Amino acid sequence: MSALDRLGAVIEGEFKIISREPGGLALLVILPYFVAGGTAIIASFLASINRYRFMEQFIGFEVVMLSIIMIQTGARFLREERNGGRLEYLLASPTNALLILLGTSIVMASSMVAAFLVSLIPVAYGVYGVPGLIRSITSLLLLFIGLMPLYGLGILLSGVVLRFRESDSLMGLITSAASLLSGATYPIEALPKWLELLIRVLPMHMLDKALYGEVMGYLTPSRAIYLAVAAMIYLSLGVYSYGRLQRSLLRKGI
Amino acid sequence: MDAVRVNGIRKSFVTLERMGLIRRRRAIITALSDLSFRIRWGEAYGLLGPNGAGKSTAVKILSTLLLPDAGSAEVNGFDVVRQAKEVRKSIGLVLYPDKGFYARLSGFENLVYFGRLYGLSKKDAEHRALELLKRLDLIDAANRSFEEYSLGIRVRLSIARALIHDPPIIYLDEPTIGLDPLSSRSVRNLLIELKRSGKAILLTSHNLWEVEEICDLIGIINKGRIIMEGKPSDIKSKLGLKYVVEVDIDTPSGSKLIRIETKEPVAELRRLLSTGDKVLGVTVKEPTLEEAFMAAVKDERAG
Repeated sequence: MSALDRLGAVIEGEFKIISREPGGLALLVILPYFVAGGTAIIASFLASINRYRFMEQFIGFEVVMLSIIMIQTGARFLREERNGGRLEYLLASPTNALLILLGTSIVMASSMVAAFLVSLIPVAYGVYGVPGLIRSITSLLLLFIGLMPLYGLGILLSGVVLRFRESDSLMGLITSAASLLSGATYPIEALPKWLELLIRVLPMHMLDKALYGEVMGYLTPSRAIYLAVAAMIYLSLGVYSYGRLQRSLLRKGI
Repeated sequence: MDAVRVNGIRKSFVTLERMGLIRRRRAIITALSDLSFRIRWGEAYGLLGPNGAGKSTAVKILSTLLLPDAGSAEVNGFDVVRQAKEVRKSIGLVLYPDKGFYARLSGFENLVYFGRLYGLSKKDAEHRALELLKRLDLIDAANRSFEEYSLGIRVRLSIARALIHDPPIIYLDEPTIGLDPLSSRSVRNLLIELKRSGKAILLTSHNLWEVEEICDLIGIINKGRIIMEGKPSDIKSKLGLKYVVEVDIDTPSGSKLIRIETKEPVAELRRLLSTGDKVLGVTVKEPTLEEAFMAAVKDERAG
């Protein structure tokens, strides 16, 4: 059986598991409305808020939320597999563990893209009409590409998380850092230069700008290219980091 | 060619010992020191040892889940370090009998999933999963979520997973832990059947009578090395354990029980029967493997 068939098996299994836990996906659809809506209400006391500003905030919070989930995916998967006693069985199978990780990431990314679509359609239609609706569908490919570097970043961090005994605390810290460094809900130009540079290197800010640009109809090719290059770089770093992690696990024990 | 050949495996772990509130000290724990043994085809090998003796470390190295520091091991003719993928295809594994499955998937779905990870096509994996579910008397629970299963069902499902790709070698770490007597017996019968079909089995268990029933050869491991090896009966005789001979004889004042502990039960029985007394009953109690295990580990600790 080819690697593609095995990947298919992982994807099928993961989809079954996710479909039996629909609560999380429902939250992904609803939450941006509450957060962006709440922020808009608070901001309306201080400044004039229009539907375009709401749209920007809405996409910004979507990006923050999906980024956090995607960054956590690799580490959470490995941690859950280890705690559930499955990691040994997966590593003892002849299927490459990276293939299993890739399968789970595809499922997670696809689920988030689907949730994003369901969530975005009413807002995009409300703000930009039918063209917005069409562009929100084409933005899905962009989102899928944009989630890949975040997954690579997540694998990069998973080695640290697995070694750290208080992995929940560390995950909390990473979540907070990812929210702050997303640059998706505030103007990063106001930050010190070094911090602005760091945020520009991380993929969240560019994903936000690319998605918003696409929904508005002003996507520049450079942003899409940036995301594709970032996907390759961060995924390569993730694969390299995972290789080191696996060797370390084999030396020290799981 | 042996099914499994282990030559002088060594493995140490670095750990940190707490020396107070903050200070920690590096400590090295030797899990395996010069471990060697081999398993032939169609043979069940029992690895016995006290907690922390190195049994699980040995099983993990032979499963390619841990790299040895020194020494070598071959499984089905493949080196566990250099040919890990081939080794993985050759083995079925039961590590934590009640864990290691996806809670939201059914037993059938779990088996098919792992079968496909072992390279079976979807159709073959489904066919094989159904076959094993029937064989392990799990067919009624096949479509229920794993999280609803009792311990007994989980253990049997774990054994089914180890057999899903029909491997020639099977490792089982405490496979019948928590099982009721009926389920334990069915697992033992299955293992004996697998052994007879030519598969090699590596078994660790604290149920020593179970090991005695299944295994052809036993290795007693302590402090990371085999301290005694042989057939269960050979180990008992090597340790000079005594049989208990009880003869119930009829005397004018009523029946009398004579109880003698001896290393030579046949000679002792002959002597007792030759006295001419009317014998009402004879019982010969063989020393158990548990006694042998206790004696071997105690000798090693004293030595």
